[in-house]
Amino acid sequence: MPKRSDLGNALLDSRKLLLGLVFSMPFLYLLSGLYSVGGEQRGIHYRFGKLINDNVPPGMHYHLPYPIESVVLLPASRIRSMEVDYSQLGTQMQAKELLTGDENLVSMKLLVEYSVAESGAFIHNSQDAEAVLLQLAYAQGALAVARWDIDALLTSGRHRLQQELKLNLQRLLNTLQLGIRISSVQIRQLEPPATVKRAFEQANTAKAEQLKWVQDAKAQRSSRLAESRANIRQYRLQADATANELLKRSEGDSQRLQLQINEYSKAPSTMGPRIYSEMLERVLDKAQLQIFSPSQDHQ
Amino acid sequence: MKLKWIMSLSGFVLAVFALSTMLVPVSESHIAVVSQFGKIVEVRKESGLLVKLPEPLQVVTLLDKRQQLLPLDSMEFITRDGRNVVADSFVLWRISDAQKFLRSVRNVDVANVRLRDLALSEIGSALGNSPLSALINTQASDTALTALFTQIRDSSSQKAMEAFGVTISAIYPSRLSLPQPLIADVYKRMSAERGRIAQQLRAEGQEEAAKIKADTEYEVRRMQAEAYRDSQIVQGEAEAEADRIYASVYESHPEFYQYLRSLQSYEKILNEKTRLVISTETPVFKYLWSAPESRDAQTQ
Repeated sequence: MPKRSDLGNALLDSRKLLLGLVFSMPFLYLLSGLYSVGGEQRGIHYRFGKLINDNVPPGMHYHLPYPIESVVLLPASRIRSMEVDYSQLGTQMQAKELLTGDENLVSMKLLVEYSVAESGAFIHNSQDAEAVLLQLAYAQGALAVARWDIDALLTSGRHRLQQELKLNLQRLLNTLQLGIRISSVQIRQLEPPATVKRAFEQANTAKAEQLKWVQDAKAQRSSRLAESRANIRQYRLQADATANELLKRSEGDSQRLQLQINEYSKAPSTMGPRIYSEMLERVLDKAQLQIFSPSQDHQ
Repeated sequence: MKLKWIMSLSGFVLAVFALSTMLVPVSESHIAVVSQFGKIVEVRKESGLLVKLPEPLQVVTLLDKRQQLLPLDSMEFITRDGRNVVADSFVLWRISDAQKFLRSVRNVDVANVRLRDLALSEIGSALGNSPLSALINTQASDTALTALFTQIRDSSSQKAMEAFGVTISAIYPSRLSLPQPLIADVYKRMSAERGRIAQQLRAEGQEEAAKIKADTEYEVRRMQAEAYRDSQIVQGEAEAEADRIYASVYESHPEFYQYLRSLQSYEKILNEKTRLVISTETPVFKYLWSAPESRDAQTQ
């Protein structure tokens, strides 16, 4: 029967296929252990739940198939960040500021950057390592602020506070073995409470005014000094010139006199009357003269 | 033949079931507690494959051995010197003695309630034992507050371990503040303080500016005085030198100098306004009316 032979043929074909499937099953099962780890990821390799390698590098890898071994992928090398905002804490009605060492209040916000240092510890040493990190960061911030006075916090202490927070937080994370490495702790906000901000701004303005006054006074000083230096220089030069003039004149005069004396010494009887006559000419030329002759009246 | 098939099939199914309940993989996060008819026979802390008797005979309970976070509500505490402080805090704990844990609190929710009470009372008594000034101050190196919380952690951990097999790895305040009614006073005080600082800064600025101005004035006047002194010296020296030069000449022929000087004086004294009445008998006019006589007559 052609019909039966068709069916037989079909059965024969599918039997081959089924057999092929049955024989390939174990291979497929074994192949199911192939996995790849992405560039930013790390693989964590378990055998019967026991961790055997928590740092499988990126690339193609193989693990024994389920249920013997398994792998969890973790985006480990990525830097993560977390905002530590104290206004998220407490109840609605409470003020959100932190107590400082000198019993003032400041409002603060931090940014923590971190990455997974040990995947195994990160996953298995706490239920939620990141939630723990957040709480620890809150705590370190609050404890640090309670050791500082408000002026240091708001002005010079910022950088030191960041360093201190990073150091303390990392030390604590190491003690608690949370498998986290802190890259940085940044102070995002550190300012006086909103209610008293105006008073702080006014104090800052006063500081600026103080500086301005001093700057102005210094500027005035330097221009005043320059001006008087110039005046004094001129005065000194004038005095020198006067003195010099005096000296030169005296030299000239005295030399002239000396020459006259020399002449006079040579012929006193002629020079004396001559000088006298010259003087008379000059004097009487200018003066108003009235001449009378007593001897004529007599005559 | 058919019975044999059924027998072997059911045997296989049973074996698979028994094997599956006999082998339990324990993960890194868990403690496995094996109990036999309600009695705990084994506590396994290590991860890996656990082998036990099949299901109805031995049952396994998995407990989370990781550190768990328990945030505590904001609470007001009173220090020894009667100051009120508000603290939000948290507890980090883990199951350490699984047997004791299961016997005393059974599950995590109950444990959280008990731990909360324990931690708050420990914090309260520790804060009540020290004055506020010992806890917060402005010495950055003073770690009294951190030390206090370490001490709170140690004593709570010891009590928690004894009572329900739990160790506490950290208790910290996540925020320290003051009670709401006191905060308004603090704001007022802070404002007043800033006002005082502003006033002081202004006063200091004015003082310094005035000082700079006075210094400048002083310096200018000093410079002027020095210049005056120097110029007087220079001129005096020049005058002295001039006198010396004159004198050296005068001394060489004093009478002639006297004569010359007198002539110069006359020249200066007499000018256009001077009115002179002169007799023709003055020697100048000696030759006005009379011609010079002969030499002989003159000598006579």
